[in-house]
Amino acid sequence: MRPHARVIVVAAEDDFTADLVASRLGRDAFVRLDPGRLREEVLVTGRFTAGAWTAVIDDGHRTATVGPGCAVYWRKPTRPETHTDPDQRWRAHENTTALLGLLRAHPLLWVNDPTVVDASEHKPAQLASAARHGLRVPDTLFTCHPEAARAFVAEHHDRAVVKALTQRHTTFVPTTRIRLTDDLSGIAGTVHYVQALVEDRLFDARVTVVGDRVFTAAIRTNGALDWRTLPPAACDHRPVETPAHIAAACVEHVRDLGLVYAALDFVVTADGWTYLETNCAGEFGWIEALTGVPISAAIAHVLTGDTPDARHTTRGRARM
Amino acid sequence: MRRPLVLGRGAAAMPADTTPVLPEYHYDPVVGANVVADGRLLVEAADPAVVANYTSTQDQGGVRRKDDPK
Repeated sequence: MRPHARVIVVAAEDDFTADLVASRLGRDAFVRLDPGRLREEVLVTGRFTAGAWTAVIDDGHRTATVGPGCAVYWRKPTRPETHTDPDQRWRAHENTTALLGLLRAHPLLWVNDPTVVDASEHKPAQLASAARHGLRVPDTLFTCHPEAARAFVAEHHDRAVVKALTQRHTTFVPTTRIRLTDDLSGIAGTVHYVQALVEDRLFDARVTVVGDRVFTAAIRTNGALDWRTLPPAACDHRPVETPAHIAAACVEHVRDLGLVYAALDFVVTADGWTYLETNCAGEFGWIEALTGVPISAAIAHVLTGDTPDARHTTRGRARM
Repeated sequence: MRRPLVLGRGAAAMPADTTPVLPEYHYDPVVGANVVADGRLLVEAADPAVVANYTSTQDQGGVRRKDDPK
């Protein structure tokens, strides 16, 4: 008889961040599968009878009977579009949809429910939520009107940045300065995300929230506006204490978004901490690898119910 | 239709020779994680700086920002 697992890890097999969490769970505690590239030995069966669903996942070595007391660690399964064969693309999409649907039909703890992540990714709502919870948020403009952008940049004394709202269908687009001397005609026809520049930065802060716990790393560079443009080795990463009011606000903000986990970006100056964005499925592996902060252990504790943070939710804020 | 301003500001991909090399590894379904040749977990056997490069916000090829939800 196979060991009974209570945690369902949904991740691509080459997801080393998922490996970090798996390493903290204990092998018999979880099943792991990638619906985007499902092995034939992985068995997923769900049945609706007498008004209720029952579902069982067997990854070939452990079995999870989906239900109360189970938790899902939904990372990033292989995306259908990575398959060149159209049948495999269909299969990946079908499997991911089926698995997600079966899991969402049960009252489970999610870290995080991907449908809630999708609903929480919208930056305007994130900024508003952050402000409601007392975080300082830069003055922000969304516009496809070049003159509105010009007026905004002028209002901020030529100290503004432009960001990509999404990073889909393109190579990485970092945050860059936008100036009055720039040709802004390229703003016409595309809503651009413009924000006041936060100057005199002491460091960037990556704040990772796991339930009620907060782990923060200071990221220092040689003056880079966007640390994401640099390989991790080119930045200095150190754990730092999060001011209590910032930590509390971050926890409440993430909870407000319907999430258990998120990674928030801040700029820290002598004036304090300025919120930039919330990455609802943000990466944390490099922070843990370089600073030792125990994020994966915290996630594992939440998934196994080892902390008072563990919460069960029947569904998030996304529409069914 | 003119090219969006922000798309003219894409970052160059990181040079190939800056991509750190992982030790030989494979996914072990029994373990539920990637392991190296002697059976140790990859994330424990590899240099933390190497693990960091593969678990950061960018794909190694610079094609996709991994902080995206998908």
